[in-house]
Amino acid sequence: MSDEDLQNNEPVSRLLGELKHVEAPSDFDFGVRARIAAGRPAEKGGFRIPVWLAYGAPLALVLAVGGYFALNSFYSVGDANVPVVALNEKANVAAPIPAPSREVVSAPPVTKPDDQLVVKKPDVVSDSNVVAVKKPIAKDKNAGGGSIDLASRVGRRFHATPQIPAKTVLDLIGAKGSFEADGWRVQSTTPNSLAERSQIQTGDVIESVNGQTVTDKSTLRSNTPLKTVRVRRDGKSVDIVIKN
Amino acid sequence: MAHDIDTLSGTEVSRTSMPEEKRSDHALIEATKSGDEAAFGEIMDRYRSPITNYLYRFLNDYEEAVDLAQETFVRVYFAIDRYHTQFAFSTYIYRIATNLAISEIRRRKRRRLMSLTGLFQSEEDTQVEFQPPDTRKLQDTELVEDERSQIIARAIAALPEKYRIPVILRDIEGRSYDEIAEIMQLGLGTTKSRINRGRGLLKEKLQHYL
Repeated sequence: MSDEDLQNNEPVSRLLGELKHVEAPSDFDFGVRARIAAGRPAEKGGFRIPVWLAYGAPLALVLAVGGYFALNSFYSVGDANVPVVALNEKANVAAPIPAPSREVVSAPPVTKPDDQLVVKKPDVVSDSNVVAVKKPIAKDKNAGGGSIDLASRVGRRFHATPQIPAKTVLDLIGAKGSFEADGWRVQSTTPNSLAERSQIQTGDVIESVNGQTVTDKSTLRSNTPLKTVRVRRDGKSVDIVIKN
Repeated sequence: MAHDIDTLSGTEVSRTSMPEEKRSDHALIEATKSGDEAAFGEIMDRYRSPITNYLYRFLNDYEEAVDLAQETFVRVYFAIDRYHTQFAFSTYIYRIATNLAISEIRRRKRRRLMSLTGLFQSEEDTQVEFQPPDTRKLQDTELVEDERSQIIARAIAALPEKYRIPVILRDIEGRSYDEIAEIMQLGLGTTKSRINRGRGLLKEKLQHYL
């Protein structure tokens, strides 16, 4: 720093020197004496938050919220409206042992003005299976069908490969019926359900789902999207692509 | 007896009429250590306004300045046994006041950071506007300054801390370079450099008034 620099800034120095000096208030000494009488220097601001907590708490909160949504999206991979089911490879070998039935309802009946899907009744399942419906399939609140996406997520918590009876799955997509000797005979389709929109008709006999034969003993695994259904109609096999 | 009374009265008169010798800061501190409360009052008489003015220019907030100035004296009082006379008392008290003011600035920064707007404030912003100017009107009408002075005060308050402290101490408080270096615990060259840099920043902002 040179003397020239100092001289260049001399006007600033003079300007600051012209500022009026403020005086301490008349009760200044009283305030000091009062604090001294209190016995210790006052802690500014009272309760103090440690610096690590002041910076760390908001960060931890952001990470917790972000982590929750990240994990949530991770377990919801795929189209929300696609029923995620697949035929169990061992379906014909061993059906789950029926346990005392109980109701598992993850989505209670609700009525929303934005005409989202409403699942009106709980499904009856065994303990080894988890069935629930969360995400909408149809816009019509009276529509049938549904996703077992939530069931998939819930199932992972208790069972490595959650198994769902084929009957339940077919009911969920809106193909009401019963098993006969040659397969699942559709007795009715729920209006605006996946079954109806995919042109599954009353009288069709569902032979396979995603290429896997369906019998009354079949159970389905909930980690593969439901894509195709083969039905027998008027004596002919017809492949139907499930429409969402 | 009357003579005695007159004599005593004359003695008393001569005592009060003598010009009282001004005690040094160190002497007042020593007296305070030995329990002389009046000595501490004299220290306050000497430094309360300079310290208040210094803090006011630092914070641009009169009430906060008074509060911190009082706290400065409280800390001097409770730490008086730890004061060593190798430093000038003025250096010592200005250093305490500076540390308190810096703590206050950081407390404000933390408070601002915790607010929603503070969370997204960039580093560059914090460097340029290290201390946001306090635009509140002063309560004391005697302290109401004209517009020019207020602009200058805001410009000072917006200086980064490392320039603001030495510039105020030098150009407003009139402390020597050596003393400022002691207060800031810096070398003399660094101190002068910061003062000059601070003045340069002010010159850019106050060009209209120069």
